[in-house]
Amino acid sequence: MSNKILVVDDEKNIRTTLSTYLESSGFDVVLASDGEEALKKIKEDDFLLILLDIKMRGLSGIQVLEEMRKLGFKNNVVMMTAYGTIENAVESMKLGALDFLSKPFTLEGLKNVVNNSINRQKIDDDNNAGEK
Amino acid sequence: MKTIKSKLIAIFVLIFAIIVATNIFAIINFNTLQSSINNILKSNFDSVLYAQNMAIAIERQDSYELAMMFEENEENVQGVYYENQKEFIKWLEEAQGNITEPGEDIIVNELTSNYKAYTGKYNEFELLVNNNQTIGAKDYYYREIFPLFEDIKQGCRDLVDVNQKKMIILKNNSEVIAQRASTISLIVSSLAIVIILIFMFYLINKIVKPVRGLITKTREISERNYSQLLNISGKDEIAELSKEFNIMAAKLRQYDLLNINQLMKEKQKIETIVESISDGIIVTGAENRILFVNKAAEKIFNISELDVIKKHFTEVIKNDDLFVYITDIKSEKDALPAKEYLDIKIKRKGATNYYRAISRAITNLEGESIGVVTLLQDITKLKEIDEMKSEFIFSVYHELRTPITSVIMATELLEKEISGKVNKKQKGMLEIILEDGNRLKNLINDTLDLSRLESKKSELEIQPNILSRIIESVLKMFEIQIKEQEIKIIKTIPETFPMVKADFGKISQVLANLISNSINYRYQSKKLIIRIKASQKDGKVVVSVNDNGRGIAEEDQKRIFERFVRIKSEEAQDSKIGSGLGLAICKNIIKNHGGNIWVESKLTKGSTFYFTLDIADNNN
Repeated sequence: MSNKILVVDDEKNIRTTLSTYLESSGFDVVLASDGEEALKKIKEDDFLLILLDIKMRGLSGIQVLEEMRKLGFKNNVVMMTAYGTIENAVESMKLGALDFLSKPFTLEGLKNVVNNSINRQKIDDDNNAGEK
Repeated sequence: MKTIKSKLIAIFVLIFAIIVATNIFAIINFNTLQSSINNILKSNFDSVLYAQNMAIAIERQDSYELAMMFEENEENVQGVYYENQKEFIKWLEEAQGNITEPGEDIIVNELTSNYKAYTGKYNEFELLVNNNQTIGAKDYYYREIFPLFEDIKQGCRDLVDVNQKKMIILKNNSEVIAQRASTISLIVSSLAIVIILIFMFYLINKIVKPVRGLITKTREISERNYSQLLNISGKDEIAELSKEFNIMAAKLRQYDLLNINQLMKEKQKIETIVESISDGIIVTGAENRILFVNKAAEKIFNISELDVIKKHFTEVIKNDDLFVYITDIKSEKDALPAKEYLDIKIKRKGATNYYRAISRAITNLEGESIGVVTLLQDITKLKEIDEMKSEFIFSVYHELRTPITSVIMATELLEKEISGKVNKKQKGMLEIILEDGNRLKNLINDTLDLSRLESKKSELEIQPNILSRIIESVLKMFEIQIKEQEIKIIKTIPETFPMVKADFGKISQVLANLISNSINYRYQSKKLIIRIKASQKDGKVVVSVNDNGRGIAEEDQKRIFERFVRIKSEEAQDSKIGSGLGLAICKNIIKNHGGNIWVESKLTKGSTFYFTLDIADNNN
C-alpha cells in the first residue's frame, strides 16, 4: 500500500512545514504548488492521502477535486479551508472529500485529521479485501 | 343725557304725579261732599231749629193770652209773655241772618211783619184786658190776634218745610257727588295703571333689547367672529356699553390677528427649518397615525405628506422593525427601555439606503406619551465606509491565516524536536513564539468570527434544539479541564423544558465562552463552582451561567461586551491567550438569535451571565 501523501498548496511555507511534519511521521510526501501540478501528480502516482488547499491561484481546490473525481481517481482527500469558510468545506464534502482542516491549524489538529483519514482508508480497504 | 337712570327717574316721577293727581282729585271730591253735608247741618238745620224755637215761643205767648182772658189776677205770669217775646225775636233775628234758600227771605219777612202786627195787636188786647172789658178782649182776640198767630205758625212751618226740602235735595246731591267722585277716581286710577304699565313695558324693552344684542354678539366674539359689530343707537348706558364692546371686539380682533400672524411666522420658521433638515422627520400621534413628515422623509419613503397625513403608520411605511421600534419608544415608560436607535435598510429604485432611526416619545404634562418623533439619518455612506472597513479588516485577517499557520506549525516542529534537537534556551524561545503565535491565531479566528457575525454573513441555522443537549455537548468539551481542576458543575434544568430556537453550534460557542471565562477568572485558591440554570420567563428561555469567581467591577460590566475589552487580572489565565472578543461574539450570536445577554456581578463574589432564547413552537 502506498505511503505517499500529496500536499497541494500555493503557499511554500505551508508546503514545507506540512512535509516536514509528515515526513517525520514516516510518510512519503509529494508537493504540488497549484492545481495543474496536483492533477499531473495524481495521474502519475498513487497517493494514500491528498491534502488539498481550497483557495489557490489558478484552479481552486474544489475544481481539482471535481476534475480528479471526473477522471476516476478515488483517492482520499482532506480539504484545507480558510477559517470560517465552512460553506466551501461542506461543498467539498459533497464532492467526496473525507474531512477538512481549518486554517490556521495546529500540528495536533493535522495529526488527528491525517490519522483519522488513514484509519478510515484502512478500514475501507479491509472491508473491500474481505468482500473479495 | 337720556340715560336709563333718567328714564327710570322720569317713570317714577310720572307714577308719583299720577298718584298725587288722583289723590288730589279724590280729596277735592271728598271736600265737596263734606261741604255739602256741612251746609245741610249748618244753615238749613239752623233755620229748622230757629223756626221750631219761634213756633214754641209764639205758642207760649198765645197760651199766655188765653190765660189772660180766662184767669184773672194773675199778674205774676205777665213776665212769661215778654220772655217768650224776647225769645221769639232772638230766633227771628237768627233766622233773618240765615237766609239761604230761595223764598226763605219772603217767608222770614212775612214772619217779621206778621210778628210786628201781632205785638201791636197784643198791646191793644192788653189794654182791653186791663180795663176789664173781657168780652171786648175776647172778641178782639178771636178777631185780630188769633189769625195772626195762625199765620205766624204757618210761617214757621213754611220755614221748616223750605229748609227740609233743601236738605233732602242736598242729601240727594251729595250722594250723586260721592258716586261721581268714586267713578272718576276709579277711571283715573285705571288710566294711571294703564299708563304706568305701558311706560314700564316700553322702558323694559328699551333696556332689555340692547342687552339681548350684547349677549348674542358676546357669544359670537367668544367664537372668534369679530366681524359683526353692535348697532349703537341712543345715548344711554347700554349704548355706551355697546360702544365699549365694539371697541373691545375690534381690539380683540387685532390682538387675534397679531397672534395668528406671529404664530404663522413661527410656524413658517419652524417648518422651513424642519423642511430644510436633510434628515427625515416623521411625527406620529397617540394612535400611531402620521401627523407630520418633512421633505426628506417624503423622499426616503417615496410618499407625499398630503397623502399620508392621519393615516396609520403601517399603512404608509412598510417597515415592521421601524414600527415595532416606534411603539416600543412610545410605551417605554412602563416597559423596558427601548433601543437608542434602529438601523433600517430601504431599497428604492435599485439602490439600497441605510437609515438610522432615532425616536423620542412626546409626552404631555402628565408624562403620558402622546406621540413619537422619529429622526431618520441617512447612514448609507457611513454604512458603506463601515462595510469597507469591515471588509478590509476581514481580508487582512483572512490573509494572516496562512502565514500564522506556517509560523505555528514550523515552531511546533522545532519545539517538538521533529526536525532535530534544540537546547533548553532555544526551546524556551520557541515556546514564547508558539504561545504568542497561538494568541495571534485566536485573535484572527475571533475577529473573523465577529466580523462575520456582525455583517450577518454567517447565516444561523436556527432550529428547535434541546437545550440540555447543547449544554451537555459543551461540558464534554471541558471534560478534561473539569476533571483536572476539580471544577464542580451544577446543572439545573426542569425536566419538561421546551425546545429552544437555536443554532446548535453558535449557542454552544456562547456557552463555551461563558464557561471558559468562569474558569479563566476563577480564584485558584477556591473550589470553582459553576451553576448552569435554565428557566422560563415572559415566554422566553433564560439561561444563566453563574460562578464564584472574581466577579466584575460595576464600571466594567457594560464594557465587557464590547470588542477588545479584557478585564486586567494578573492571575487570569486568559489574559495570555484570549482575544478579548469572546463576549462580543457571544453578544452578536445572541443578538442574531433575537435574544438578550447581560451580566450581574459583584467583585470578589462571582458573576452570573444571562442570555435569552426564543421557545420553539411545537409545530416547528
